[in-house]
Amino acid sequence: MCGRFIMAAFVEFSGVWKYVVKGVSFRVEGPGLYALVGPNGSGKTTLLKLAAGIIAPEKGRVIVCGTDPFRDHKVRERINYVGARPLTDLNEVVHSYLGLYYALTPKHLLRCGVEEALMSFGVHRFLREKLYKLSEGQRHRVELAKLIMKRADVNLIDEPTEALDAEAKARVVEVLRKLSSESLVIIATHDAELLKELRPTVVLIEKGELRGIHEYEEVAANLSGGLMLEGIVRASSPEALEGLRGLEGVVELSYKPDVRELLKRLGISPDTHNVMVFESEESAKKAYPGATFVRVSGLELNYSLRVRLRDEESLSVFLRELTRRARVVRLSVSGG
Amino acid sequence: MLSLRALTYLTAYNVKHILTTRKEFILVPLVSTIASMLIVPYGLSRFTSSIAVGAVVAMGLLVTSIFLPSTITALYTIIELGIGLLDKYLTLPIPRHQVVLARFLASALLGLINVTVALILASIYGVHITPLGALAVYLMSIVLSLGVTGVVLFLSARNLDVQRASLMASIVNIILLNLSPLYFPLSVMPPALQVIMLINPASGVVEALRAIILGRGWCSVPTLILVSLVLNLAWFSAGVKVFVGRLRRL
Repeated sequence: MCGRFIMAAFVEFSGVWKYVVKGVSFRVEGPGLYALVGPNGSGKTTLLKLAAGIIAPEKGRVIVCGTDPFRDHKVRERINYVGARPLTDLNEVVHSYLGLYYALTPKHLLRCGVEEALMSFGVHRFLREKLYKLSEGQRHRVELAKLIMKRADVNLIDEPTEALDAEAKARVVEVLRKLSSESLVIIATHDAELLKELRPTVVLIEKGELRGIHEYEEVAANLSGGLMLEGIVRASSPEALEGLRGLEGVVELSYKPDVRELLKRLGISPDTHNVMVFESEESAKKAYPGATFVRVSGLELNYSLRVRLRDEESLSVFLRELTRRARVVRLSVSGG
Repeated sequence: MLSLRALTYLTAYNVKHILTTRKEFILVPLVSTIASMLIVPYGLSRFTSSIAVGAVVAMGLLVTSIFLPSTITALYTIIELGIGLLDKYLTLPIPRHQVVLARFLASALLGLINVTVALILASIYGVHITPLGALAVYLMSIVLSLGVTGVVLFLSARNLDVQRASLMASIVNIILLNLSPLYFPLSVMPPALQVIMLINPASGVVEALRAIILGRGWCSVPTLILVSLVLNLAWFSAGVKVFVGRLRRL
């Protein structure tokens, strides 16, 4: 929290409804680090976007530092919102994208210039490049550079370690530690390693509802203990893998189809830069005008699979069920 | 003053953004204007030389050259809102109506490229405009761009479905053009119909352009500009209000 502001840095949700979020209420106050943790579709990103004032709640109230961030543009000066990917079309040049934020941030809130911020995440050499020429990890580093450039009382970061290599992850840990000592930092993440490193206060969200706010140590066993399975499996539908979630001992499960293979099967070159692939419920068709919906059920594809099991005892049951539902291409087990 | 600085910066940013990443906003109207103005007035002047076909048709094409860029920008903005590409602007500490205003001011300013090309091509058909006339044409172009944008946003932004928004934008274009005095002066219509037609943001602009291009009735131009300015800004404000209201329902 910065001393120059009268109102403390806090984010408060009161009975908020929006998309999958169902009547969530809680308040977090800075300085400090909070992690929104929950499975895909639990409403983590929605909560961050609500706090950033990008969207407004259908019902309920979102208050940031004493005011509504959707209505009151002034309070957005105090907020840094960092998406899981850059919030622009990939034809934009890195310098132009971050330059927009630089130019429209009051000077006293700027820590440094665009190039210096990029340098902090090792991507300054891409200053004049278009975003589509960068890898996913490099694009994410560009987005993270906003944290360095602007001094904010409330930092909202969606999947801070998504697509990052070990070196960049370490840098993210360092930056988040520093930021949380002086401001309110809220991250949404699935990354158990990151949680273990940062030991934040954990806000558990499931199916759009708040399940509790805990110190990391209280929930550490569920979040980072047990065995980690990572690899590639070949399945005929996501539902086949989704069914594994309910198995005894499965703490966390995520899977993503191989996008390159999916595009090839659809007759689209995977190197086409202006194709964006995202996962969505079929019921959300209206929210994505112009998008082509492809039902992946019945389409045999490779999926990258990531599973956290509670203990070794769960392993044999899990593997038996996995091999019944999918063909294992490669799988590694760690921890335990 | 921060707002004015922000508005200016955002407008310049949008101009640059369109020039570098959305060239089609300029190229599509430009190709359309060039294609139509190269052939249509020439063909018509060969067909009949009894009226100033070059001047009349060139004026019609000039008006359509103003319509296209503003419609494309409005439509793209609706689409970008639907796919989340406007989040970049929505996180900024700037009022939302300013974000929208900057975007469409940029589009109106870039639309002047198209108008300039249309004016150059019109000169081939004997349409000679004085520097003062050209200035008035540019002013009317910006005014009409905002009005057309407003009508498209007003009628299309309620639905983010791309097909429906595109269809609505096409219908808006057809209605505005055909319910304006594009092919005849407004004075030939009965008074009651004249008043109704003036609700169309394009009508006053078309009348003013006709006076400028034909070099007749210049005295009515300031009044027409004033009426058009009020009407087009009203449509633009209504469109922006609907669009900003749509943001709340995202």
